[in-house]
Formats: sequence, structure tokens, C-alpha cells
Amino acid sequence: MSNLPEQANRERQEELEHVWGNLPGWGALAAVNHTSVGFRFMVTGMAFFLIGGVLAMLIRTQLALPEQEIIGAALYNQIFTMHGTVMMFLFAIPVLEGVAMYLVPKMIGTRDLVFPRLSALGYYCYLFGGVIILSSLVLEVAPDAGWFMYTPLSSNTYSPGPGSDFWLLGITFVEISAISAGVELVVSILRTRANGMSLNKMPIFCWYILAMALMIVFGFPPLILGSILLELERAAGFVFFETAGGGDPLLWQHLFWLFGHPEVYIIFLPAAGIVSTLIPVFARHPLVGYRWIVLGIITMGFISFGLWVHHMFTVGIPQMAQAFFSVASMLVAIPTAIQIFAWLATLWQGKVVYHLPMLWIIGFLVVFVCGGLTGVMLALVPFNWQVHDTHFVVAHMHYVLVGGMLFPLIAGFYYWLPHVSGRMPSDKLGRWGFWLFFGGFNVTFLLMHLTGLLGMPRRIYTYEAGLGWDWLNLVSSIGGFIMAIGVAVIIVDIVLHFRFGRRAEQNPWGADTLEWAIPMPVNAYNFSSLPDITTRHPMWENPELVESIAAGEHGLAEVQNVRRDIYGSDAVTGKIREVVHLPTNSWLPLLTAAVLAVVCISLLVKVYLVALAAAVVALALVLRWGWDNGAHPRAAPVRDDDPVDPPLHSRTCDGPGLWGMVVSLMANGTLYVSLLFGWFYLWTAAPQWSTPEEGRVALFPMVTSGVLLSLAVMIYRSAVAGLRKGQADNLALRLWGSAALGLAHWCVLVWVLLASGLRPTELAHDAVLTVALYYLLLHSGLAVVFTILQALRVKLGFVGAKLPYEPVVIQPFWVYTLGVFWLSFAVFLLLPMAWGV
Amino acid sequence: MCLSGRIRQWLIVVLLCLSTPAGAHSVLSAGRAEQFTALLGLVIFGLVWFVYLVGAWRVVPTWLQALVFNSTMILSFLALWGPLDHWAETSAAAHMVQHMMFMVVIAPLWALSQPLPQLASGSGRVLARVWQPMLKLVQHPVYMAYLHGGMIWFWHIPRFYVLALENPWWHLVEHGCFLISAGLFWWAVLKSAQRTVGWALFALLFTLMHTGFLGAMLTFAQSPLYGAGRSLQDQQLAGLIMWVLGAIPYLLAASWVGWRGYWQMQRRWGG
Repeated sequence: MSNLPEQANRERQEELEHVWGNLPGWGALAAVNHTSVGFRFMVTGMAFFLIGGVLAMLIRTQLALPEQEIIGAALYNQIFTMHGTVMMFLFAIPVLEGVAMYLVPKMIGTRDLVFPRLSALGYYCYLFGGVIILSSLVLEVAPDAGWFMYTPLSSNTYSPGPGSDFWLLGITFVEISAISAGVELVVSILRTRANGMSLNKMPIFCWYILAMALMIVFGFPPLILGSILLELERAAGFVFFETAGGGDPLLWQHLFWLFGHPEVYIIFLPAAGIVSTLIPVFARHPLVGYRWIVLGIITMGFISFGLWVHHMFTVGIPQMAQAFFSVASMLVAIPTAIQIFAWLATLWQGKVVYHLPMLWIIGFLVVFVCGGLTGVMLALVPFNWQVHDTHFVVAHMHYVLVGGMLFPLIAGFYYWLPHVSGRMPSDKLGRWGFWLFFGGFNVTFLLMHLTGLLGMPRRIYTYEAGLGWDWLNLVSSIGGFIMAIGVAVIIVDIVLHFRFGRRAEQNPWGADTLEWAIPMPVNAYNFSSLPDITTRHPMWENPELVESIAAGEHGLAEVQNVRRDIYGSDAVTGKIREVVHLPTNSWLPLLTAAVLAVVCISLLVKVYLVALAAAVVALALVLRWGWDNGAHPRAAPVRDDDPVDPPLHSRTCDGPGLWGMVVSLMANGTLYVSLLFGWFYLWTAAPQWSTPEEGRVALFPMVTSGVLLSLAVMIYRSAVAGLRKGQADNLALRLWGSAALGLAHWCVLVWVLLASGLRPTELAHDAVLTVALYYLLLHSGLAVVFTILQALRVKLGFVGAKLPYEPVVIQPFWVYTLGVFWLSFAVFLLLPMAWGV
Repeated sequence: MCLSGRIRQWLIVVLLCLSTPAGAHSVLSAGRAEQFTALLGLVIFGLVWFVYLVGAWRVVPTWLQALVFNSTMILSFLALWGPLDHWAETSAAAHMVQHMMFMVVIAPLWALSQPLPQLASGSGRVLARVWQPMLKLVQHPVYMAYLHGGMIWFWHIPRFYVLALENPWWHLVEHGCFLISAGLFWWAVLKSAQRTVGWALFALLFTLMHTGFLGAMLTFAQSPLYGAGRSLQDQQLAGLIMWVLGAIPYLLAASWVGWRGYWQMQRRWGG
């Protein structure tokens, strides 16, 4: 009797698995599913971690004894540069992104991230970029100017080989993945939460990830801009960082630390999110001060954008500035302390169970607090001057980063292992791993503080005997190897557990968050029906969710039209607003990333025609990818049984696409503002800045071009305004008109550029102006292409009065292009005329 | 009860006035145009305060609002006609302090004291007509941030900065631009609706960053930007005041907006 519904339920789940699963065999490479992609991010990140670790072992071997020549100076430079680069850019950030991508949809009660193909593209960009960077090590031309690539050391004169190019191009390539993950996580967290999960009922981890993702959006663009400028200087001779033509090497440091300081928090926040998730579970007590922590996260994000200068105390900035920033640096202690006290209070209030993950959390608290204290020391300018570029800084940095990121990460790995494998890790081996790692770490780095205080500089490949550093270095190296053994034990433990681990029961740690309502090991679709959420601790207060979700008692239980559907919900209240249909497995992300890799490699070997051609192909692929959206037959063609309440997202005017566009434009805008910063900075601070006697850019054609653009945007906006009202009169005509005007504007702008007589290789002034003009051309060109495609879609019936989605998504891009145009006009052309005193 | 409220208010005003040093320095001791603009400023200033006090008699504000508004008026008086104004003629740093007072102290305090009911009532609804269009504007914190940012950058272009220094009329316009755009910005941010809390935070971050950039510019500039005779150190100090001290109100505001938004959320959806 009861067999029949069970049978039906099983068939329902099989259908879900079929729709959401990856393609078999090699088809798995086309996977876009967040579980697969997140997992790949983590595994790849760990592989890079091991490579970075081996590099660290080489460094420690070389430094173990004085006056060794195992590794020569040149190779040593490459190795420490690559160690930092790999650990920061190829391990820490991507692996945490992977954790976030894997967990976030599960925690907010949905089935996938909101732009699945973007996840996959991000992964492949990361993988290919990482491989390209590492290949330089194999080719023995690795970057060797330090992980922050300071100019002028990294400029052509002092780093003539391709090493720096590998860094600049490879890292920029990898950062595509960071930005795409940032955009995707922001929109997913805000727009696809389970029904009723208002922001204040969201798991604290998601708040951390939201903050991290936003910080990626605002934090990474300055570095991307810096890398582009430096690469332009190295490859095309543009002047940005050369003093001779009016550039300034310090501009690089500003751009780098504008990124680099937030980046510390981009790494720390998700790790702190893991801590805030685990502590309540193992203390068996809700997190104390949830609201305060949310506030601390927001404040921390804000503060982190204002403090970049404290990395530059010794580069010759005004003394007064040092005093101010020394004091300001202390500010960041407040939000950090809020969190640490909230954690301690939670531990205090609860009954702590010391499972393996908790051990790592304790390790984190100890190590991170020590790192924080040496940070306070470094914020003091005189002390900072004393220990600058010594091993003290190295020790501090490792306490903060390993303590603040790696310890929580491993805690998280152990905690969520059962989720992936359905098995429990071994307690015994795990404890061995922890103590070896913790002990080895402290032996290495605690003593390194002393080495630094005794004056040993960083980045030297060897040292004389008898300076008092000998035994310290030897012990540090021994500690390093103990730590490495610890890592090996942990890896063995994790690998073995997949085979021998005890079967885990449902929700093995007694956690409160929704990811534990998913059957273990994890399936492709997460939840077989999407539950309503009424509390911040669903698994504590409604443990029966496990059964009711599996039985299909909640939303979207049935697959419709073989389509991947999730709910889209209100950003604040979490009330359902639409059904979001997601794309299925696709080869396009892999192809696009491969073509982008071709762009990257051809830039490296300086075959620019191939690079240009490949870039065009990549754009075509991306457009092809966007073609299959909305009402396209391969996405969600108009059918009679389309859901009405809530409607499909592609039938609305405020879907996730619009949010994705706006968040991407925020990142883009940050890049542009960084360029403006560079312009003003060089103008006022570069020692040999000079402006050409006469304006190089013809004003009148520029204004003409701007008027044409303004008209194009006006027409486009009127078309979209009509769509919003449900009217599509002359829609195609308006779109064509807008595209035509945009094209005319673009042509005039090209003429302006060609006729301008800018000399970017001689003057920084002209170099910045050239970049700005190219930036405008790129945007106007893209807007025109997008609009033409929309006009075609109107003709094909994919866009219309009832299908307004896509033109609405593109509108902010037009408006942004317009805004940037006139702002550039004011700042680059009018301002110089108005400058004089 | 109502009466005691009013008495307390007047008392606050009187007490605060007593603590003011006899200012109006520049009204007496300057050139003709300068005297006239200073006087004009003083009249506008006095009128606003008077209207508020009359309005407060009719529509009694809470004691906290009255305290905040009246103290802010005293602060503005000090900033406008106190010694700062005199120092500002030669020192970029003092001038910066004056402007920061307008933009990150006085304007947000005004917004927090919610003086509109009193001003409306006191002016017989004349003023209400002035801000009617503004009520629409302040629903968009990001646009207000752009407007405010535009004002700040415009008046820091050396030509216009010096123009305002040399010409008292332009100086009045400059101060008006700062005060009004800052008022709109803070109003939009601090009183943001539940829907726009995210945008209010974005507006704050944007303003924090661009004022920081401007401050950085002043700090790192190789030469004095506002006239070769001026001290570079003074300019650096001005830059740092904007960059570091000026950042604190934005940070506080971010916490406050976050807190307030969270609290509203809690009240409406529990949890």
C-alpha cells in the first residue's frame, strides 16, 4: 500500500537526478553544477597548495644552513615569488571561493548558483591561468620580483625576461574567476534564498560570503587595472610607472595595496565564516551576538578599503601620513575583536564538544590572535621601520594567513567531509595531523619572529654564518618539515576516509544549517523539494525537514519540461518572486576559457594578431552563450503551461540577470575609478609629470560623439520604458535606431583616437588618455553589439511585450557607458583646461 | 508637559548660546563684499534658526532632536564665523576642517535631528515647498552620493578653490553647494528606506573611497596645489584630515545604517 507513493517518489528523484546530473564520462567537463564546480575548485586549490608547499620546503632547505648553494640566487628569487603567488592567488582565494560555491546554495536552500555557466567558466579560467603561471617555473622563467611585483623591479629594465609577464597575464586571467565568483555569489545570496529566509534568518556563513563577494567585486579591479597598465608598459612601452615620462613607480604600490589590503579580509572573512558556523555547532549553543557579528562584518569591509597605505610606511610617504595611518590601523581591531569575543562568549555559554574540527578552531584562535598582536606591533611606525623587510614580517604574515585561513579551512574540511563522502574522518589520524601541523607551524614561525628581530632580511637566498641566525633558521626548517609531515598525515587521513571511514548518520555533528538536510553523500540537485524557512536554525527546530524534503512535500518537487528550476526570491524578505530556470550542462565555458587561454599565451609570446583573433572568438563564444537564454527554444520557450504565480524569471523585468549586470558594473566602475585615481595621482604626485602644451584630443568631434551616444541611450531607454509597461511598439525599430546611433558614436570616437596624435610611449599623460579612450571604445562597441543581438531576438520572437527580460538587463550597460563617457570627457579633457591656478 | 518641553528647549538654546564666543569676527573686519556676504550668510543662518525655533513652539520635537539641532546650529555658527574661517584663508588644513565640519558633522547631525516638521510649521509651509522636490531626490542615496561627490571634486580643482578663496560671493556659493549636497546625501543615507539600505551602504562606501582618493591626492602631491606660496605640509595635513579623520563619520554611518536596517528587519520579520 505504502509502496506505491514511495515508488513514485523514487522515480521523481531519479528524474531530478537525470535533469540536474552531469553528463557521463568526459561529459563531466561540461558540468555547470555548483557541487561539481565547487568541489573542483577545492581539489585544484589543494593541488596548488601542495605545489606552493613544496616551494616552501625548497626555501626552508636552502635557508636551513648558512652559506648554502643548493639553490642559486636567481632560482631562489623565482621560488619565493612563486610560493607567495601560488599560495595567495592560486590557493587561498580560489579554495575559499570553492567552499563558498559548494556550500552557499545548500545553506540557503536552493539547488544551484544562479549563473551556473559562469561558475564553470570561472573554474576553467582559474585552472588554465594557474597552469600557465606554473609553467613558467618549469620553463625556468618564473617571475622573480616578489609576489607583489613592485615596480621598477618588475619593469622591463630590471626584469627583462618574460617572468613578470607570466605573473601579470596569468594572474589577470585567474582573477576573471574571482570576479565571476564574486558576482555570482552576491546575486545568488541576495536573490535565490529559500522562501521566507529573510536576511536576518540567513546562516551567518552566508553573511560572511556576501561580504567577501562584495569585497572581491570592489577589491580586485584595482589590481586588474594595475596589471593591465604594467603589462602595457612592459609590452607596448606605455608610460605609467617610469619616472622619465611622467609616471611614478609608487602608483603600482597604491593600486596593488588598494587590492591587497581588502584581499587580506577577502581571505579572512570566509574562514571566519567557517569559524562562526562551527563554534555554535560544537558549543551546542546559538551564536552569541549574531547581530553584532553582522555589524562587525560590514564595518570590517568598510575599514579594509581605507587602510591600504599602512603597507607602505617605508616607501617615503609624508611622515604625517604615517602617523595618521598608524592610528587608523588600530581601528580594525574593533570589528575583529567583536567577532573574537562573540566566539569566546559562545564557547563560554555552551557545552563544548571537542571533535576534530573543534581542535582546528582552537588552533585558529591561538595562532590568529598571536598574528593579530604582531599586527598591532607592525602598525607602530618606528617598529615597522625597524623590522620592515625582515623575517619578522614573514612570521607575522604567516601567523595571520595560516592562522586566519588555513586552520579554519581544515576545520571546515573535516566538518563537511561527511557531507561529500557520507563517511566520518578518522579521529586518531586526524589528531596526529593536527598536532604535527600545529607544532611544526609554531616551531617554524614563532622562532622566525626572533630571526627577524635579529635583523635577517626577507628574500635573501643565503646568509653568512655566525650572525646569530644559524640555529634559528635550522630549527625553523625542521619545524617546516614537521608541518609538511602534518599535511601529509591530513591528506592520507582524508584520502583513506573515502574508503575506510565509518558511515556517517544524517547530520552527524548535530548542526543547525540546511545543508545537513541533504542526503549524504550529496546528490546533484541538493533538495528534492524546496522548503520554506521560518527560523535561523532550521535543523535544530525542524529536524523533520530531512524527511519532508525527501518526500517532496515542499516547492518545485516535480521537474517541469526537463528544465533546471529554482526559486528566485526577494533580496530582503526572501519571499518567492519567480521561478528561475537555469541552463543545463554546457561546453561553452570550457571552450571560452580555452580560447581565453590562447589569448593569454599569445600575449605572452607576443603574437598580437593571434591574441586579437582569439579575443574576438572568445567574445563570439560568450555571445553565443547568451543567445540560449530567455525564451530561446533551448532555454524556456513560451509554453501554455508556463507557471504564472510565481512567473518564470525570463518573463519579468527584475530578474537575477539585472542584478548580475549591476554587480558586474560595480566591479567595472571600480576599475574605472582606479584609472581616474591613477590619472589624478600621476598628475599631482609624479615627479616629472607634464601636460602637453595643447590638448591632443579634438573637443568638437568628442562632443559630437557624446551627443550621438546620448541619443542612442535615450532611444534605448524609451524602448525599455515601453517594455516595462508591457508595450513593444516599434521595439525592433528603436533597438536598431539605438544601435545605429551607437555605431555612429563609436566611429566618431575611433576617428578622434586616430586623429589625436597621442604619444603614449613618451608621456604618461597621453598613456592614461589612450587607455581611457580604448576603455570607452570597448564599452560603446559592446553596447552596440548587444543591442543588435536584441533587435534580432525581437525579430525571432525571443524578446517582446511579454518577454521584456533581456533589454532590461542591458539597459544599465548603456547608461554606464554614457556616464563613463561624459565623466571621462569632464575629467580627461575639461579638467586640464580648468586646472590652472 | 508640553510647556515644560518648550521651556527646556529655550533653555538649551540659551545655554548653548552662552557658550559661544563672541564671533562674527569677519563681519566687522573685512572688505565690503566680504562684509556683505558674511552678513547675508548670517541672515540666512539666523532666519533658519528662527524659523526652527518658532516651529518648535508649535510642533514640539523630542528633547534629543532639539538638542541635536540647536547644537548643530551652534557648531555651524562656529564653523562659519568662528576663527576657523579666518585661518582658512591661509591654511588649507583649517579650510579643510571647516569643510569637513559642514560635510561630515553638521550635515549628518541635521539629518539626524529631523528638523523638517519644525521648519515647515515655522515658515508657514513656505520652506516645505522648497524641499518638496528634494523628498523625491533623497529616495536615491546613490544619486545623492554622485551629486555630493561632484560638488566636492569640483570645488577642489585649484582654479575654483582659489576662486572661492578670493571672491566672497563664490565662497558663499561653495559653502552652499557643500552644505546642501551634503544635507541631501546624509538625509538619503541616514533615513534610507528598508529597500535602499544596500544602496545607502554603497553610497557610503563610494563616498568614503572618493574622498579618500582626494585626500590621498592632497597628501601625496609633490607641490602645493592651491598657490605656490602655500605650505606643502599644511596641504598634506588637509589631505590626511579628509582621508583619515573624514573617514570616521562614514564608518560610523555605515555601522549605524547597517544596525538600523537590521533592526527594522528584525521587527518586521522576526527571527
